[in-house]
Amino acid sequence: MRRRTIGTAAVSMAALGAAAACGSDDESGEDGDTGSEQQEFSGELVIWADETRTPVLKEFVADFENQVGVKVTVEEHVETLREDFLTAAEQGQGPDVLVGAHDWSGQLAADGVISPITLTEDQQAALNPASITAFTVDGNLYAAPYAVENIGLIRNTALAAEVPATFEELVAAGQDAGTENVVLLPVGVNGDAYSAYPLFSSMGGYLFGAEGTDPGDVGVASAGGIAAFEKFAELGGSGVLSTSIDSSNATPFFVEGKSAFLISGPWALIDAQNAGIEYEVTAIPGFEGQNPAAPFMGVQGFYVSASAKNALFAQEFVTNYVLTEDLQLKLAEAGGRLPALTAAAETYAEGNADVQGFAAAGEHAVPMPNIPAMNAVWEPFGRAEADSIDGVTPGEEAATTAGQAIADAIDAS
Amino acid sequence: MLDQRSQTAGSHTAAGLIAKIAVLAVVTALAVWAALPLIDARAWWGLGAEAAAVAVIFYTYLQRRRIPLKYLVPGTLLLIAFQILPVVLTIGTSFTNYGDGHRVGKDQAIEAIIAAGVQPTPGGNTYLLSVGESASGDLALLLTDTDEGTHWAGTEEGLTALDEVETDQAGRITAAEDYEVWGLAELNERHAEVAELAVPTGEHSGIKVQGLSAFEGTSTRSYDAGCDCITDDEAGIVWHADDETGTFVTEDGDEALVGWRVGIGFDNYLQVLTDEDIRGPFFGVFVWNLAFGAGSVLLTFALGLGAAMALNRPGMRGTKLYRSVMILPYAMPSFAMLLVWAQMFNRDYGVINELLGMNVDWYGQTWAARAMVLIANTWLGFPYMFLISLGALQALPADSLEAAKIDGATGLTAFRKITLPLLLVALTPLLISSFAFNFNNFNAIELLSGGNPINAGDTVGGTDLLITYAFRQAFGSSSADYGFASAISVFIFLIVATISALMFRATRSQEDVYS
Amino acid sequence: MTRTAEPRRAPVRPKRRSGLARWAGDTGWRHLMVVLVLVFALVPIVYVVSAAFNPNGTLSTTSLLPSSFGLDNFERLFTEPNVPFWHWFGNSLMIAVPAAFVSIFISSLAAYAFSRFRFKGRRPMLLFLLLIQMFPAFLAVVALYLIFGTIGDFYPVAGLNSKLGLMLVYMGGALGVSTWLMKGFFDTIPKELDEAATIDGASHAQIFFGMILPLAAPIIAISGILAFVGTMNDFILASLFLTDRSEMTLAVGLKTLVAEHSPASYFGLFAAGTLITSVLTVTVFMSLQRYIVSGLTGGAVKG
Repeated sequence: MRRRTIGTAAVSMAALGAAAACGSDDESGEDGDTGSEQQEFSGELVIWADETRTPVLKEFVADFENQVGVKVTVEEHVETLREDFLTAAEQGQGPDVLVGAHDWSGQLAADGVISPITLTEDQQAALNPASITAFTVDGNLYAAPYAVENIGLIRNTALAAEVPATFEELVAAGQDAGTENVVLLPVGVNGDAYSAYPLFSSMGGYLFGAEGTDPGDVGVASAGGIAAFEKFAELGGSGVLSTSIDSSNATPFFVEGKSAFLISGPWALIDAQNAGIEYEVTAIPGFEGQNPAAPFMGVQGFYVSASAKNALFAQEFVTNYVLTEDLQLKLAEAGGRLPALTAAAETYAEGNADVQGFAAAGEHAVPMPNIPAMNAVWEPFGRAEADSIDGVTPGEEAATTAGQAIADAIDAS
Repeated sequence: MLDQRSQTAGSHTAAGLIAKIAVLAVVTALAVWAALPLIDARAWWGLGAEAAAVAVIFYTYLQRRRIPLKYLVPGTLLLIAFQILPVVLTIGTSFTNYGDGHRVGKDQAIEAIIAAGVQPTPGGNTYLLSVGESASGDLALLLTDTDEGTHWAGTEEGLTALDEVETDQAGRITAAEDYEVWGLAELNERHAEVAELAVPTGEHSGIKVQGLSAFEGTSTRSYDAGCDCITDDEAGIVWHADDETGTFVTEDGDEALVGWRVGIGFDNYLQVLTDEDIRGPFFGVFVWNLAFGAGSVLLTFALGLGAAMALNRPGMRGTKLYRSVMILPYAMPSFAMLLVWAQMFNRDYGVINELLGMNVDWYGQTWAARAMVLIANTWLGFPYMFLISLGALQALPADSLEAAKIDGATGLTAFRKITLPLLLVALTPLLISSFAFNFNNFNAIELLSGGNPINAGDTVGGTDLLITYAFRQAFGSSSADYGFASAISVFIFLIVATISALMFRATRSQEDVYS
Repeated sequence: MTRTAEPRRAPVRPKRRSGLARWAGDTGWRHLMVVLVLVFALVPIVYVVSAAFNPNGTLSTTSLLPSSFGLDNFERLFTEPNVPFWHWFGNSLMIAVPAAFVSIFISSLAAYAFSRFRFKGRRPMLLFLLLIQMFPAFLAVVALYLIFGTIGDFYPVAGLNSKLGLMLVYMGGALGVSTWLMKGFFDTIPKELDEAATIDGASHAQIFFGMILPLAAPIIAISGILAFVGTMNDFILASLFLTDRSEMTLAVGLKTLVAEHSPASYFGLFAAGTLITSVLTVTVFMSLQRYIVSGLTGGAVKG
């Protein structure tokens, strides 16, 4: 038997099923019988997830319940999942498994509330490499990734037929479309570092060194960073970017046809589809002669709580069940995000133009840094972005001020 | 909760006596029910607290002299449990380093640091796991090597080869000589015992169980209680515990990833007092904060009272409908309505600028932003004032009004000289408490203006309250510092409580108007 | 009692002014004032209403008047499997009504003691009750989790994940304001009434239940509304306590619809749900209105 057995779903699950059946031969006849309808569960596994994932997960834990004989409860925490988990776990309570984003991993690991997991080499090889990096803190992997997402360029094909190759072309096409807005990039009064990052990176900006893990190298006020903020100022001055566009009105405006271009993620598609808009998803173009625009990659994964009451089955669930192609495909179909398992991702993307579009947009994506220092970036970065777009502060000054504020905040802790 | 009716009906009536006995019987039954799990868990402190509460209840309702106590005890018990206790815990937190990186206890921190040092042995074996129990009750990990298909029993002594085994099709052991193999149900039941079992394979390596698999892992880190330090053999690092700061540090000052929660005395308070980012802008923010608190109360009260007065006219048509619509803003979830307001104030697309035909940058100009938060906060708060004014108007003594009428006071004069002072007697404490609430109205500012206008590099924005900008200091750096935020809370509480107590004192003389 | 306008209607003044002017001075200004306040009150709400009835309604595109009209949002609200709206509705009622009743009852007891008895520590206790509410509550969630985690270890029925536990917190939360509100009202009920009753042989309990409570109906109704609305709108505690979709309250359940990255068009569903919720609150208010504005008979208070 090859080592791969552990990693691949079907075989491993069959093994578990068989083990359960064998159990029934021994002493615990009723309990182990996977076939019985009213199964008596002898153990419990509690999973916490947010409002988007809970309904999806609930459908898929039943298999695991039946195979392993553990009652799986998915509890839903609206909006405050991370805080709730920290509050519970530090008191030794809370769930066995947490479903969350990769950029929590640095904080959760430093708080000692999650346990590292080990994946076999084969399992790791089957996953999108960036998704593993994303959950790695100090050399340890802290979650099993199941989905990746990034933003891309959503284009109203009726208003702009051609795929823009550069951001300059995009601006020109957006102006030609004769709509109210050239492009809908969420900024808002506080700025939006997440949405701005692709443009920032295209001009040569970066965060925390090449690997995204060095808190000593902030990168906001680097030469590329300054160039990016000057670009923001320029685009703000010409009315391409505006702080009046924020994450809550960008998609509705796109749906209303107020612009040919929207820079957003897979979540925006539902609205476009409902409104019957003809659209295409492509990569966000970089500036002419500059780097490609690299969006942040967000990865969703399953963490094992350090205070899991049922650690054994939590680990089994996270390291085997979650990494099955079948489950990842189903989660992808229900949630609209690309699976982290490469094979599942390929199957899922086949014949799905939207998914392919976002995957293309994510070609250069970098995992959002998971180090705690990232927490100090969002606000100063956003303010500097908003200020340069509003013309309140010149680009260079905004970049250096923000860079200094971020460095100070990191030093302070 | 206790039904006060029966207990306080006193012994004047037989019915009252019977009811009193019945309720005390229920209390007794509840007390016994509540005591059982506590005794079961040997939670003597809990039992003590429960006994004390029951004793207080019995004493209160069986004695006859202290009548006010009978009315105060139920509220006091609830107040202690759900308001005073959280405040006490928060104050306790302000003397610790509680925050990111320092959330758990020392044992958990050590455990996490050591767990982070366990790595799969390079080229080590991986196994499918079963668990077996020997006749003498000792546990063993029954392992199937996934590469070679060999079978092993792992005990505290190490691995021994197994010859006679049966396996399922995946290769997992289902029966073995000398061992009773657990089924999944058993494993579910007793997983904790499996976690206790350490199977060594070398000096630093052992079998690490992960779910229903296992691998050979090397633990490079160990904790030594003697030196209170953690040693990483592979990296050649020694972290010594620093109980002052709750961290493991090397001699070079590098900290281990996880720290723990320790008491740090008054450090957080000193930090609040010495932090330039907090001290510097304090005065300016304080003045605006006062204005925001007072302005919110005045505007909401003026609007609420005005509406209540206007509707306080028997026979006026439509009053019922008016009143019902008036409380609508209060019936809407405030988080959602703050989102709506935020959109309405959008410079380019908001309805406010559209209706007014203006192009005000509500978020970018200090005074516009201040007007904005006051307008939205007034909208959120005036139905509350309307309701309490409506209540207070019902309580105006008619004879005072009659007297005013005889004196010929009418209209505004009557309102100013008679109605308002009488209303204020009843409402002043609520106005003070509303002032305090708005003084610390974190959500209204955070969800609407976010403290804006704030430019890059500013520590404080035009609409920031003490609590919003101080919390930004506590949570805006790379790790959230709850201990520091608690100390800030205590300071802000002291400020607002002092102001309130002074106002309260100033109104003290009014209270006995009716007695 | 409710006739603050009485002086105006008094026949002291000769009837000099024209009918219209008189109407304007007497009732007209009232309508004007109220309409102005209502316009202010309704502007944001019109947004919500038009989003609710607009099948494509979102937070930002909904103009004051809906561009199209339909009941789609309501239909989806009632039929989508992930939106058990009527469960949420029922849960909210099940929690808010008893919590409001108990907390109002307990507050009225305390208010009676503070209003009618003079005892050692009365002033400091009143002041303490006022001040304790002013403590910034941001860490309360952590503390309450600790408290209810411990309670749940011994009594799962009132621990986390239980409606009873949540109700206990709400009961504790409304105490301060309602006690003060009621005490202020009780103070205005003449003490002579108590004295007369005492002479007739009534006990303090009979005075409280038989006389004070009925007389205080308006303020009890208002405190009840305040406690009810506060409970209905709470989101933070309810989301910590109730983690099963069908167990959620309206505030938590509706919030799932406007979470980050949920489709913008869900705002229409959310708006529809919010409208129904507010209709509930207004209905409760309307049913209590008669106690609020006619609870007192003038004679009783005049003594």
